[in-house]
Amino acid sequence: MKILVIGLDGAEPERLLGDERLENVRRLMDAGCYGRFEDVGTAGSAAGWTCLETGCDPGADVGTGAAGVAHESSGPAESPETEARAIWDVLARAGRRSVRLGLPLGGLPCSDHGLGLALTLPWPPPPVASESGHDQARRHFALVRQLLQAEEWDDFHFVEPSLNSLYQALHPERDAGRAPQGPEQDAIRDHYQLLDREIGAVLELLTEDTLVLVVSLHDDGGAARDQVPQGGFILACSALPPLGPIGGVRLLDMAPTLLALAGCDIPATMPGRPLATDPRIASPADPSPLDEEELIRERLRGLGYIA
Amino acid sequence: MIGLDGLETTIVRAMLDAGELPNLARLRSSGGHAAVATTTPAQTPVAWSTFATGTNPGGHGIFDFIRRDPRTYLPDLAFNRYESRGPFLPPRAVNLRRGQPVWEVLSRAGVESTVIRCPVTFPPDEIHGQVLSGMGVPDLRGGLGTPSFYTTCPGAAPRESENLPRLQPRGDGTIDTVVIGPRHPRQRTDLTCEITLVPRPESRSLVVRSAGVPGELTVGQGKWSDWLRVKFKVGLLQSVSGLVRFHLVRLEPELELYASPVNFDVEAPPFPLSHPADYARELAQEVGLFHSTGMVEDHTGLNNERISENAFLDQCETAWREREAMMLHGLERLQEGLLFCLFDTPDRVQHLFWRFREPDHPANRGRTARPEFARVIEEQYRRGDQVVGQALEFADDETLLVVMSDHGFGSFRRGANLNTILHDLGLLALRDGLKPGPEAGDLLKRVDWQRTRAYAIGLSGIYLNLRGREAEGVVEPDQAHDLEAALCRALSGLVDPETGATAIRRVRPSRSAFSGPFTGEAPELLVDFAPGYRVSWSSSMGGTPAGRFEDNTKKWSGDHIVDPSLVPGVLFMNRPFRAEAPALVDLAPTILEALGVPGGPSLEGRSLVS
Repeated sequence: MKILVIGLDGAEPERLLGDERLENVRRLMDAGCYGRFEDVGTAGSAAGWTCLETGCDPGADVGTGAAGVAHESSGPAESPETEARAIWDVLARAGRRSVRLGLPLGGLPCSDHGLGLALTLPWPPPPVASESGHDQARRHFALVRQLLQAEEWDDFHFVEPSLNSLYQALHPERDAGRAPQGPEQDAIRDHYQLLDREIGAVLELLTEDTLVLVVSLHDDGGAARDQVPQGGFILACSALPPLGPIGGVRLLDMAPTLLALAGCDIPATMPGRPLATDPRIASPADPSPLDEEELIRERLRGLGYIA
Repeated sequence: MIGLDGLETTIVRAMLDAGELPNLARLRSSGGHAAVATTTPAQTPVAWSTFATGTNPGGHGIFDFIRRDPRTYLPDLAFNRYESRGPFLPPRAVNLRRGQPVWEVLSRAGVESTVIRCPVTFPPDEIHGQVLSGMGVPDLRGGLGTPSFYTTCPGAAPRESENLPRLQPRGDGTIDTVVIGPRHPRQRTDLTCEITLVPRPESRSLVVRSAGVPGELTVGQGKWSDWLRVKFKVGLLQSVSGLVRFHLVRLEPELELYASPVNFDVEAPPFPLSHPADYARELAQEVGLFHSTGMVEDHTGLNNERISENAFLDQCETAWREREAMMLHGLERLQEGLLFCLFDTPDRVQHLFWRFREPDHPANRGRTARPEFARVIEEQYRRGDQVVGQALEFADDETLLVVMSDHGFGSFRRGANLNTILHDLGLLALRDGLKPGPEAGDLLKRVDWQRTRAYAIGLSGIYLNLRGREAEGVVEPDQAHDLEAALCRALSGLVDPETGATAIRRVRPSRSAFSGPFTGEAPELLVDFAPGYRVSWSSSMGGTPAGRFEDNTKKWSGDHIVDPSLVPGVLFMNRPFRAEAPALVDLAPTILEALGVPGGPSLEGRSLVS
């Protein structure tokens, strides 16, 4: 199984999961399961993306046992049980190659030696005006498509920062709780739709054995407003049944979920619960496809010239 | 350009002589009239593809309604296929007609075209102008039209190519049932939309209640309803919209209700059926909702005797009106460039009503004589002449008006079981000691490929079981020509022993008829049937029934898939044109010449107006 993770930094989960115009997102939702994260851990999207990779909340209190993370080390872990493991570490030990694009790797509490390829983007993303933001997203996704086709990969994670940049540029007053208005609203709406189209173009490159996880992390500058960061997810795979909305999922459940679906052991440093233990996911009913003959008869039905 | 599909030269001449086609007569006076040579084979998708591209079938790759996959021997529709776009996306439709249609050449020269319902334009060509796809557009189920027949009769069984939802009235007489839509793309189960049928015997009508639009639709006995727009949930968040019409056959003693195939919703199709995408919606807003399936007329319903001849003709009149309205919409906007509009209905009516011209036709056996239908075909031709009259009102001195058909028509009385004939010749073998008959099944399933050198599937051809091409090929490529020659000798002039008539005029190698980059996709041999004959129903789907020939007893009693020289089309223009031996390949150069656009080297014909 291959894993593709698309991170949309700054995407509001209500918007991502609720806008009917996002056709490709809705196809993924219909094909799998989705919902809002019950908990995305420490404020700040950089922390969130770290949590996605390690299954640990980097800001959590070690003493609580909620998550035990060692800080960055430049060499191999000396104590596997306490060194935070990123998804790519585990997959690399299984001989699988990981690619990361756009992830805030600096400050990750684990080595990056297991990564096959990593390309970083400026982090945190600077504010950009709408057209620049649109162009930025197009360029990033073009690079994603190029890498998906040109690179060998088993696990590909990409974080697109342009929406966050747009929010910063167009809606700096969000800290005050003011909703975007007028042209700001249009630009942001247009950007969601652009991202949806780009996601669709990425989906065209995937094979049947690919699992897709879309994650949104939205931070309203929460610390200033005492707002809880938000996030949402969509998880789809042709081997999984379409379960629709699922509640009670935390961001730190994603890493163990991906590893479990990839058939790998989950390190002890990942306290989250893999969704794969959900009985509905663990033993999906395998729909028996119509055989080729029946499909052909269906296609020719009503031709008139033939029996 | 107006296409009147299937107009037969002999009928047109007789009606012209009798003064029954005044508008075509006007054209003949001002420009001329000729028989136009059709394609080999004389089939609608082949002919219109040649018209569009100006090449023989070897240049556009459409050789039949049916193509076969040499890896599996299975048939499929020749017009289009679907390509996966990935596990999470709906497939992409791909038009299998290659070559370059004349409207693309015009586009490159900045000349606008409006192309309405030309066959093999699904998905639509993206041009400077508008295209509304024609034959090849599926129904929502993905086929060419699967109707449903609802009945309270307990003993009813489904007939060919139809759904039969069982009805169970409640105590109050209402009936909960469903409209059957597409299959779920992953689970492959039927998606349905709930409806409630409320019989109103006092007014001899039925109300269909649903969550669709309109919420209540009334249909009178013997009548067709308006369109009902229904939605089918594909998932929690996605749905697909379709359009369906009902015909109330009877209320008592048993309820019988016919539902058309569920058409793509022209305002929200799951696949594009027009270019630009909103052209179909624009047409619907101007002319009303319309049939979008590639084969509009419900021949399945009539063939299955679910609807009457009169109900079928009522629906045909709806098809004429829809298409007329589209043509007029285009004519009102035509300033320059090309407008093409095809009217398919004459072809469909001739298929289903030919038997009424021949009282001894096998399809009349056991059926009540209906002399009132003897001139239905002529009425359709008059209907087409009215359309021509409307177009003439828009044609000025700078307008070239062309009216044409793609092929003619004739009787289909006897079917030839080609695979059985090949079996008798020792060229096709069946497994497990089977003999030709019902147990041999269809789709070539029981063929013993190791002992088979030639096989037939589709409507016009015989394929060699070639080693290196077919999955279980046995004929060495260097033996192919000798085998072809032997088959040509054995089958050309083949006589039907029951009638004493020649059934097959000629069998010839396809390389003698085709040239171009796609010639290799054609069957090796082309069968030119004699008048009254065609490939049998079973043989068309790879069956090997008992007997070499059989009567055609279906209501589909006329056809045109015979020796092409027997069924030329008709051609009229409002200007003098070169009437000596015109052919369909000449129309594309004619269009380009008339619009002052140079043609290209791929064009095989010559302009008829230079």
